Amino acid sequence: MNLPQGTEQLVQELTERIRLDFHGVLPKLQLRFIPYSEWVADDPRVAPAEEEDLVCITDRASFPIHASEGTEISCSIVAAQLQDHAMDDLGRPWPSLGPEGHRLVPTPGLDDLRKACWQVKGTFRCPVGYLLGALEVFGLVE
Amino acid sequence: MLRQRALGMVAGPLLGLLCLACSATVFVGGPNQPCSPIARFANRFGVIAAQQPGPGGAVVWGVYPAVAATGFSVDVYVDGKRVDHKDQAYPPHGSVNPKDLRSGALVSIVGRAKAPGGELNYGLLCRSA
Repeated sequence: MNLPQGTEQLVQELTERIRLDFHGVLPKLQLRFIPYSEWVADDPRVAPAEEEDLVCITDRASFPIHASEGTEISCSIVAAQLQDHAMDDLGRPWPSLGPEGHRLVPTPGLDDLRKACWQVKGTFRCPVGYLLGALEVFGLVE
Repeated sequence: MLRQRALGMVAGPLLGLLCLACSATVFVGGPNQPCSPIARFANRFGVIAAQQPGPGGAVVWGVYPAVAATGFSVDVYVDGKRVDHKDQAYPPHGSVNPKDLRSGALVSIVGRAKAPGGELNYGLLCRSA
């Protein structure tokens, strides 16, 4: 793995937080990261990049993660993509919290403190990486 | 799945615009086609659609083939920058993060799939709000 300088720590934290939230629904999940320039090297449609980024590669998708803006935005981007993977595999919304008839489906994003969180606006907020750990205690997540 | 369903509810009644066994990708929409509120095209091969709630919102897109197809590959570009790539067995859908968009950005969704009788090609161009 030949990553831009200074991104190893971001990748390490991101990978661990994502694993903690998704290991139950995407048990075979493996994330790889490559520089954007390498990702598009053979793509004639792409204009020359103004700045380097990191690209996250999963079993079925790859996408830039805005690594220069820090771990939180990268975490929210990866979690949002993987939420789609999980829902596609499960065939139903995930994560799904609360009692039948009053289900909440939080989505990843940045909260008011610019932290990557699973959120339902005005109702629920949990940092990415802590979702299952927090909710398993209360039996609130499938 | 939620996003796909939300888009499917809008695009579902339509038919679709994809091209079977074309030598090159056929794009629908164009630089003057707004993504918001919705850009959707249909023919007998399926539907391709994108929608955006308004400025600052994500562009949510999906491909809904009307023929049996598998081995989907798709790339999404914003102003010539690749922002997403998928290789998967089922019809692709996704959303372009608002961080990758600006008002007036040209969004391009282009891909292909294997279908009986040849390759299914699809492409959509629209401009973000």
